[in-house]
Amino acid sequence: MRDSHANRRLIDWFNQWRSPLRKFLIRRNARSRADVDDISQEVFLRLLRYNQAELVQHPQAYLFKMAANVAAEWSIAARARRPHDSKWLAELHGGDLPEDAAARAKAEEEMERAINTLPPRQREVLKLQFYEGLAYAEIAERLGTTPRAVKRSVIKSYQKLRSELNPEYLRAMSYGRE
Amino acid sequence: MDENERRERAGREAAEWWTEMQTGEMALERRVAFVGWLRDSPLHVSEMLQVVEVHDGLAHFKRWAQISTEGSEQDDALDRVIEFSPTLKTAPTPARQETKQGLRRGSFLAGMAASALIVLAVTVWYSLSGQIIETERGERREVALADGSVVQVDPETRMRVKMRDSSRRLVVLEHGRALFRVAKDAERPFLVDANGTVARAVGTSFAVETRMQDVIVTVAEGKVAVSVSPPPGTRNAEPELAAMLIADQQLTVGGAAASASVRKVDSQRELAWASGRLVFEDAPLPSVLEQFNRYNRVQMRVDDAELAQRRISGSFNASDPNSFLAFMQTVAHVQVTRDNARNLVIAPGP
Repeated sequence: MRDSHANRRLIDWFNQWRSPLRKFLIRRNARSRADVDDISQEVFLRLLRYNQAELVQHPQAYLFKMAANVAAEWSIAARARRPHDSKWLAELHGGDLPEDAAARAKAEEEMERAINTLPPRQREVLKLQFYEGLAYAEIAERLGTTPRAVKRSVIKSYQKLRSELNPEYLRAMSYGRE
Repeated sequence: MDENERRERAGREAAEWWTEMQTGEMALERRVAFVGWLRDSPLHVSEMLQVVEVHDGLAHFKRWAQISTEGSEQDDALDRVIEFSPTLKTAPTPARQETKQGLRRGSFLAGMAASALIVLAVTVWYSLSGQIIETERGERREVALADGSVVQVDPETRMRVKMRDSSRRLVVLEHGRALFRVAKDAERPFLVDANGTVARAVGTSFAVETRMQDVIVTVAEGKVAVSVSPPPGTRNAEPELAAMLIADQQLTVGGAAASASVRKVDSQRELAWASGRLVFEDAPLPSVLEQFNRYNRVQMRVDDAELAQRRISGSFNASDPNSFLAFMQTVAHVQVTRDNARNLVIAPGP
């Protein structure tokens, strides 16, 4: 993807912190959305307490960092509560989860299914963004429309995908590919 | 609004923020707004993390080559209609502008089927009579307009937006209040018309509020010219320039247009509502509750004459009545109960 400087930085921030978050989420077998909500509740409280002047410097970075911290703290707390659970012990020694090709393939399939529920125009915009690596302005030019319309299309797609996709699949797909 | 609707809206807003971050470094003002949004609700935090997860999933997806985009051209026209509210009542202004709009779209129209053309004509009709933005009690919205300006819409507000004119950008504020962060466009001034009082700006940040018979204009940044139309039926129909406002000035135009007066204000404080804060200075409790009630579904009231006399100072999160109640409990001996309608009643403690 031909990223702008800002976008690259955003992705850097995200990559830096997503690993602990992902590890936490993937290890829990409970309903994932509830997990994200739990973490978000705690992140929210920390955001309220945090100094405004600092937060507004790089809000995205603080958001990801706080989420990762909360996830990491809770992982430790959970391990402490269940010291004899063999699964947890194995992870403690083994570090990252093993690559699971079957889960990965299933995730790809699920993603493909979800993308295909989008109207063709939204699919095209996403394809130009993620496959051809175009920025919104370039996509707009290619399609003879405005960057604003492209953004609107992306927003709609994300919303649909968000409700369409099972979060478990998403995690299986991108896990370990940092 | 139920939980699902709230979640859906939070999800849309999160996606809006995410796309904004993709396009470039956010200005300080936008980062402040983003922090304000995150601090509004844990739901916002949650949806933000989940949008990022969807993005991450798309970025790692390997089978793009197999994704078909067949039918994309026909799809586009449909997409444009949804953008405008179908609840419009005003008749379209005819002819000239319509042609102009049509021409500007030339390249757009070229590849489209005949049926799509009809759809587009309907869209232009809508766009000439304006896009309606409306909020209910308990609802706050931030809306990006077609010109890049951003409107922070307070609860119980209704406005009509006309951005397609080549000589001006017009917002008709029918009732309520909103903060406008105007994108610079020297060719097309940005006008906000509230009951005949017109605030005019080129690129700046200001708020307009209708309150009873009054219209209040508050400027946070830049310059705003305010003019007042004479009452209908008056012979001299030219609007009169009431004042040229600069940052931290506020003008209240009374129902009787003559009573306009400029005063100096702390605009950050005056406009705290736009970032979801309620700031009170020695305000009577019932009016504080009324403010909270506008922003929330759960309604609060005070059930005691003596308590109602109590005056409140402080800054609160508008969408968090609970933290206000917690505050009340620390400063006064009160108890909070729910009535039959599940509303919160503040009464003296036992």
